[in-house]
Amino acid sequence: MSTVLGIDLGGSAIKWTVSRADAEFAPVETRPTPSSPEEIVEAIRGIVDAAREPHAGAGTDPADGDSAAEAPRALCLGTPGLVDDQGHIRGAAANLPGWGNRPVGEILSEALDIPVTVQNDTTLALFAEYRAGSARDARNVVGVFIGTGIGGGLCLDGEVYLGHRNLAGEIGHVTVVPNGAPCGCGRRGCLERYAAAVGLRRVCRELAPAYSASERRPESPLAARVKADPGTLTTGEILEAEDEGDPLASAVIGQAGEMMARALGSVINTLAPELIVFGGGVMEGGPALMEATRLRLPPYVLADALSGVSFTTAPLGPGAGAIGAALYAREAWER
Amino acid sequence: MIRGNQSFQKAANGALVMRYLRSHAPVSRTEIADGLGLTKSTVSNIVNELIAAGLLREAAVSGGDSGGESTAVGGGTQARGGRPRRRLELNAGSTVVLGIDVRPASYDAVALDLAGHELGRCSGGVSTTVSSPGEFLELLEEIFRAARERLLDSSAAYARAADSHRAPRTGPTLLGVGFGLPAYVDAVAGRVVSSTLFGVSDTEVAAPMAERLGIPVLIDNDANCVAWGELTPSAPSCLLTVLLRLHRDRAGRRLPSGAGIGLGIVVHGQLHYGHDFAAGEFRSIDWRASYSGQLAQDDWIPERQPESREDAASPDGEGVRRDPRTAHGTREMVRELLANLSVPISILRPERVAYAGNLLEMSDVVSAVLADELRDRYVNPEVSGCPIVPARSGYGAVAVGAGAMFLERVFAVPALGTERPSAVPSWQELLEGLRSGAGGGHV
Repeated sequence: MSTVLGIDLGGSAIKWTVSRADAEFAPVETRPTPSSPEEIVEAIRGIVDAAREPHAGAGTDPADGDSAAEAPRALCLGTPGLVDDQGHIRGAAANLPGWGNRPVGEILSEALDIPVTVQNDTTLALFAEYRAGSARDARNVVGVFIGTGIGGGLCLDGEVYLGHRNLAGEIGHVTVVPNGAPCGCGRRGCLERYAAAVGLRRVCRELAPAYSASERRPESPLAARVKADPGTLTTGEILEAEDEGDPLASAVIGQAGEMMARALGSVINTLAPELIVFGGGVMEGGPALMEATRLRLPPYVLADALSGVSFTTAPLGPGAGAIGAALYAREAWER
Repeated sequence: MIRGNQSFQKAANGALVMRYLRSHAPVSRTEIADGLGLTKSTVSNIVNELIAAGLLREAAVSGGDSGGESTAVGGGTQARGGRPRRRLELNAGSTVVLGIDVRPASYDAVALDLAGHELGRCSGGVSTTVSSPGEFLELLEEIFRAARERLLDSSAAYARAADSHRAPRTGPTLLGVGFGLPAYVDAVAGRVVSSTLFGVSDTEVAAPMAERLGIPVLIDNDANCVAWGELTPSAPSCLLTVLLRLHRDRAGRRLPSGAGIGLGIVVHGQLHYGHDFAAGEFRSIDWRASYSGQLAQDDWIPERQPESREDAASPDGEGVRRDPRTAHGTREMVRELLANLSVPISILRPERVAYAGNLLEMSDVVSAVLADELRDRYVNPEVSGCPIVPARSGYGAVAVGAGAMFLERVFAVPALGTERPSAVPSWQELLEGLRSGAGGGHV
C-alpha cells in the first residue's frame, strides 16, 4: 500500500502525519506556522522532504522492511478557508493573512514534486472522525470545529458531502444576531463572534463589569482576572473557570451555547443528522460548550429531528485534521 | 422484494437499460451495450423482455441495406455493410403514472408518460372531511378517482398521448400513482408518521391504498416531491427546494396550523431524508420585531389567498395580491424565509434552490428581497451566487414530483445497503404484470 502524507495547516501550527496503510498513521508532528505565504510553502516543502528521508514515518510496522522507507506518493493539505474543487481558496482564510484568494493547489503542485490535493481543514477533520473516530457507525454526521474560527463538515448518506464546487460547510459566518457584533468578514452578528475563541474572550471582557462585586454577590474570580489584565485573557482560562462554577464564565459559555443552538438548530432541522461531532481547539478545554449548546437547542429544533441526534466530542483531538488529510490523500491517490 | 444475486442483477441491468433509454433514446442495442458495459446478449435479453412488457419499442426504420459509413436514416442506423440497426426508444405512450398533490381542500394532479413527460394536469376541490385514518384513505381514493377520470378516462389527455406516441388502441396502462402529502412521511414504509393538517398519525397509507386502487401506490412528503421533480437526468447533484403553503379550508378560511414550509434536499444526486425521515424541516431562528413571531403564523395574509394558478388568475386573487397589508406581510414573510434559508444554503451550498407553492405568486418579491438583503448574509460571494429560482414545473411542482418520484422508484437501480419502498413492485412483478395486462390496469 502506498505511503501518503497528510498536512493540516492551521493559524498557529502545521501538523502532519505519514500513513503507510489504511488506518495506520505515524505520530502527528507539529511545527509553528510561518507568517508569510511564501514561508508556508517552504515549510510544506521541508515536511515533504523530511518525509522522503529513509525511515520517515516508519515504525508503524518495522517488519515491512523496505516499504517502511517508501517516499510519499501523494499529499493532501488541509487549510482554513473555502477551498473550491480546483484547490483555490475562495475569499480570505481565517488567521492566515495573505493565504486566501490564492490557487493553493496549483502553487503547491508547481513547487512540490508530488501530486497535491487541497481541502478545507474542517472537512478533513470530520473525514477523520468518520473513518477512524467517533462517527464510524453513523450515516449522517455534522462536524463543528471550534478554534479561532468555526468550521463545519458534513457526511451525508454515508459519504463526505462537499457541496457545489466544494463550498459546503460554512457555518462560522451564519448570522445569529441581526445587526450584532461586527465581524472581520465585514458583516455583523456572525456565529464566530460569539462562540469561537476570539468571540468567547470578547464576550467575557464585555460581560465582566456586570460580574464585579456587589451587595448581592461577591466578585467573580474570572471578572477580577479580566479587570486586572484583559489583554492576556485566554480561552482556556474561561473554560477552566466555567468548570469551577464561575458565574461570568457560565454566562459567556451560556451565550455561546445559545448562538451555537441557533445555527445548529437550523442545520438539524434541515438535515436530521444522527450525530454531531464537536471538535477543534476550544473543545480541548472540555465539553462545556457542547453541553451548553445541547441544553439550548429545544426551542430551535423540531422534536422529531432532535430526538434522533446524539452529540460527541472528537476523540481524535487536534491531530484529526492531519489524519483526515492522510486518509483523503490515500483516497485521491487510489482514485 | 429483490431476492438473490440473479434477480438482483437482472433488476439492476433492466433498470440501467431503462434509465439509459430515458436519456439517450433512440439508440441501438449495440450502443446500449457499449454505453453500459454490458454484453450484447445481456442487452438483447433485457430489451426483448421490455418490448414484450410494452415498455420499449423499436423505432421505425426507413431505407435499405447499403455499404459505406454508418448513417442515421429515419429512426435507424445502418451498420457498415450490414442490415440497418434497429433503434430502440421508450414506448412512452404505453404507460402512464399519476402524480397527485394533496391539500386539505384541493388537489393538483398530473399524468406523466414513461419518460416523465407531462400529458395533462388538472385541479379540483375535495368533499371528504377527515377525522380518522380511514377517512384520510377515503379522501385519497376520492381524489385519485376524480383525477383519473379527468386526466385519463376522458379522452383529452389520452388522445394527446395516443397522437404523439401512437399508443395501442387498448389505451395506456396505468402503472401506479404517487401522492405528495403535507405530512411527515416514512417514504420507504409508505406510512404517514404525522399530519397536523389531516389530524392523522402513524397511519399506513401506501399498502392499503394499493389494495383499494388495485395499482402500486407510493407516497412522500410534498416538499420532497418538489425535489423529486427537479431530479432530471441533467440535474445537479446538490439541490435545495422550498415549498411554501398558505393552507386554506374549502371556504377559503385560514387553517389553525398556519403556513407550511418544507425543504427538499438532494445530495449526491439522491433525496436526503436524514435520520427517521425527519430532514427538511424549517423553523425560523431569526425574525423581525415588526410583526409577531414565526412566519408560520401567517395571520397578516388575508384569507382567500389563492392556492392554485387558476385561483391566482381570478379577479379575487388579483384583489388579494394588491391589498397593501398583504403586500407588506408578503414581503416580511419572504424576507424572514430567505434570511433563515441562508443557514441551510451556507451549510449545503447547493447548486441551486428551487421554490414552489405560494412562493411562486411572490416571485417578484423573492427577487427584490434577494437583491437587497439576502446577499448580505453570506460571507462569500461564491456561496451567495447560489441561484434561487422557481421550480421547473411551477404550480404543478408537487404533483409532477410525485409522479416523477414514482417513476424514479420503480426504475431505480437497486443498490446494496439502500432501502427500497416495500410498495415498489419488483422487477419481475412489474414485467409480469405488464405482460399480463394486470400491472396496473388499462385506462
